[in-house]
Amino acid sequence: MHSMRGRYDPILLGVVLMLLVIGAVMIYSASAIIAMKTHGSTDYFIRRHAVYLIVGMTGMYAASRIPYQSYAYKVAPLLAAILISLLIVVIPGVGRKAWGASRWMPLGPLSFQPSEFAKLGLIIYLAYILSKKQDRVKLWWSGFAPPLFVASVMIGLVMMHPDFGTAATLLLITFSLLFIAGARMIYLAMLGLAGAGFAFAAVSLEAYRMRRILAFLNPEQHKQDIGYQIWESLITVGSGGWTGQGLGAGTQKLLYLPAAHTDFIFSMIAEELGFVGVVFVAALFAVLVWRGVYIAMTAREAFGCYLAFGVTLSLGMQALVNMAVAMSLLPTKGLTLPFISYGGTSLVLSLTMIGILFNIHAGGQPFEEPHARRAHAAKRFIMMKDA
Amino acid sequence: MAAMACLMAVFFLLVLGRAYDLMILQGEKYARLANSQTEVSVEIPARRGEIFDRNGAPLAVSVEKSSIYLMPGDIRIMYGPRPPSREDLREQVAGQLALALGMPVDQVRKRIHAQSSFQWLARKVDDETARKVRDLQLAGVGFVKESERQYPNGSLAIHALGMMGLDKGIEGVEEHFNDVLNGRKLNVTRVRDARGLNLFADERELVGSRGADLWLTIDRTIQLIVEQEIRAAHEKSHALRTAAVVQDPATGDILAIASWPAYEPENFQTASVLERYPFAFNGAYEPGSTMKVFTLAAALDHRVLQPDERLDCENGRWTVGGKVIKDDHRLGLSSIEQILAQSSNICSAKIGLRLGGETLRQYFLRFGFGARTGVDHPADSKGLLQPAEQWGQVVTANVSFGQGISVTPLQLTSGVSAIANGGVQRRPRLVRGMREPGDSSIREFPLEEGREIVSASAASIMKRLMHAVTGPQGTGKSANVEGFKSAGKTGTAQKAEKGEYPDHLRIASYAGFIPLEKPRITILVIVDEPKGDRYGSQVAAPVFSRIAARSLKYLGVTPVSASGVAAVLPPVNDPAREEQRPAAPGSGKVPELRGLSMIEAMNQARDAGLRVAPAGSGIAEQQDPPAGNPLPANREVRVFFTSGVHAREEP
Repeated sequence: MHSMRGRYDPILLGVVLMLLVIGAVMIYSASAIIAMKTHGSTDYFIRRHAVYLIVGMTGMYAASRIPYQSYAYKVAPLLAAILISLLIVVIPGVGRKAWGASRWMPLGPLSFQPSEFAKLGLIIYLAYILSKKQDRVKLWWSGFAPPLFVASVMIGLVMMHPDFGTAATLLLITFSLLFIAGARMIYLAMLGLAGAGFAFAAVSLEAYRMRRILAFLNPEQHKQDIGYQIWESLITVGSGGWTGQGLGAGTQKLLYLPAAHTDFIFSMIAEELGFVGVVFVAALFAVLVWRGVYIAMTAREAFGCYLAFGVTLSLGMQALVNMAVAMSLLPTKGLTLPFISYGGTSLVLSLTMIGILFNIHAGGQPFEEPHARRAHAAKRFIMMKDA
Repeated sequence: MAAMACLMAVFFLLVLGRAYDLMILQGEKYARLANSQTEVSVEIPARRGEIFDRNGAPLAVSVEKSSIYLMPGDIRIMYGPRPPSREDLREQVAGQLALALGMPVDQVRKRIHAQSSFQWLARKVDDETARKVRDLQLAGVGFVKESERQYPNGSLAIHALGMMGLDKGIEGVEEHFNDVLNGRKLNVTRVRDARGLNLFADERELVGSRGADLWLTIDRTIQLIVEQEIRAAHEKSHALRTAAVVQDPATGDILAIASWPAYEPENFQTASVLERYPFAFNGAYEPGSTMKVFTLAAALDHRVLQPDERLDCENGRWTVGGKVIKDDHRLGLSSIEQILAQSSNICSAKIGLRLGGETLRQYFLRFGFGARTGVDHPADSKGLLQPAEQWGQVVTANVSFGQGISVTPLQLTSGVSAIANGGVQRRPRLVRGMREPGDSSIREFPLEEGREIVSASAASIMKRLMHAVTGPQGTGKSANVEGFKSAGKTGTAQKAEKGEYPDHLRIASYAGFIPLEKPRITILVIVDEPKGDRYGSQVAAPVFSRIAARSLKYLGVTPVSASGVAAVLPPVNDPAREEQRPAAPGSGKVPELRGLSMIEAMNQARDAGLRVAPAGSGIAEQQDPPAGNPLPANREVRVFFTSGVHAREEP
């Protein structure tokens, strides 16, 4: 019955393409002036964005062709690779620093952010382990603790970068997938408490986080220093009105709004396309989440279900958090708006995630596994789900 | 899973709600904020007009300087780490600015903390300082080009020109024509980027309109002659002050007006009251014997005195109304030539009394005493003519020979000019014309109608009488200029001090015109409180002679020819003569100005028919267009002066 579905969910594909088009147009509008000032040509950023788009589309296509079940067999090496790359970035001299954080790893003319891959890695791992453990997730030692431990190591490494935003996202993904898998509420409550404590410690230990919180709580008072970015973002969003200033006509990108083409591109959309544009973009994400959840619920087995849900949750939450930050509902996190922001790794990863969703939607592919034992193991948990 | 989806839906609605709140409910507020930071409105003062002498030589010029302002609420550091708090930021910026400007940090701090949205930080700073501040790359710090006044001739004609405060003229012509010179401010609204760079990248754009340029009636050369001569006389007599006025009697144009001591423009703040006092304009003084000219002219005009009449001068002592009047030269029955030439107080009093107080007063008023002259200068004043009811016998007698009346040097000069001009007086003129911004040429102010004060015949008789003053028996013989006939009158007035007239305090003066036949210039010289020689004939008349000789030579008035008539070149304000000047070298090329001082460069440029738009100060380093190029259409050459070397070394 699964084979009757097309490989690509047309609604999901349409939504993603629309988001990409809006993204490309807004990046050009928002970056032309800063590109001219810093790189001497208005199309500097949009050309680089095109390269990432090609890489991302390739990633999406590849992911849609790779049977998602095969990830289950690669969990251990995948996890190891992610942990190592997260570690490498922290080693002085290897990682590229930007904005006081060493999150980037140079890769030819481009660079990538291992913490972005960590997100997908964690989702795959959690989907695998939770679908394997099934009801044992209700137990502490054999069910709840192992995934929690792996997630904690990963979050800890990301915190060392330091990347509070991604760490919080990883925590949220872990929490959500454990919840869906049916973990006991008491454990989840404990996890929530631990997370809150950890967040409090993180904030009070690093002065800049505390300042971000202060800026978030009262951007206008701090508009000349730490609250500058968020205050400018509020002005940018607020000056949009119903229909906006018109595409390309916004004035806030005249170096007023820092990161106008990356983390704060949502503000530019608001300014130039207005409330109508904001609702449209938000609606596209809502449809994306709806299709993701639908794919998760109609997945062939638990692994596909958890994987689809994890990916959907990650994309949807990131979009919501990004929009919330731009409007000062949440403190600044450094998260991009998926498919729209300029930002290489995030774009490639987001498209790859969509590819995975396509593949889950198509029901995966029967695969020939040379190792009978492994094949048997895989079939066993697939059957467990069906049972 | 449904629970998670619900949570996300709630979050989703929260985000949309927030967007609605920001964009629709509070949209206007944020749109206003966005406009206020991206649009900036700056009021750009116009470049102040310049002041030239009657031939176009610069007397007061405008030099472009940068002024720096703060928008305290917008201050930010564009590059580098942002300070953690607003206080740290302000402190850091205050330190940087104080260092760049060489200002006390307290002052900068005060301005940064000011509650206003616009604060001048430093006005009219030099280019180097402006560059240092620009290099700090601060947002909220802006630059505007303003013009700074410079007086390329130093103290020359400073009492006429007056002085500039920071924004407006506070004395002299600068004050009187302040609005005209300042021109209209330009209000410019622009979109700027966060560094304010879009707007201020090219400050040239921010140069507003220009004020009008003024052409004075002053002739710089004659002014220079006058100032040299009065300074020499001042030092020789150890006087309190010395003043002189040179006027063209035919037009009323003031060719030179000066008093000494004066001040150098850069020392204005520390100048003494005496140095700042524009004595030649408003220094009301008791004129003494020079006033007899007007008493006699009035009597002749009123036909109460006959040209061939002889009066008894009572041998030097006469009592009227209980008051004794004395003469220095004891005269008996005397002709009116003798009366004036030997300056008889007694006979002047008799003539005045013959007219009667009321008539004499009316004549004085017609000559312009007791009223402002109407000259375009804020120091123009009335002097003191006593009210009619006080003009009894004693007052009338006294006033007839210049006691008990106060006049200004300009009033007296103007009165003598009326005689020189055949009885017709023209209002003293200090400004000849102006060029409004946009005009290509000077608009000359039309000459006002002259007023007939006394009849031509009375004026003609007065000329003869005043010429007699310069004769061998006259008090004014030392005023003579070789080769010219002239006319004049000495004055030696006692100065009142606490109601007394102490013998040692005198004001010596000489007023006259030359050449006698066709007077070109009227000159008044006043030496206030000379020491040693104290008579007008001794200290003032020789100064008249020297000023007259040098001025006539400069004006090209040749000494009396065989026919006995002075050969005269066209008058000073002949337009034909004016036209010749700019075209003089006829090369049509821009001259080399580099290496010249500002005043030298301006003279060179003027000779080539160009005007200089100066920037900076010191020695000309660059010019645009360069030397050898054809004359630019706007007839303006930009010259950048550098302060690196203040004076060229003489080999």
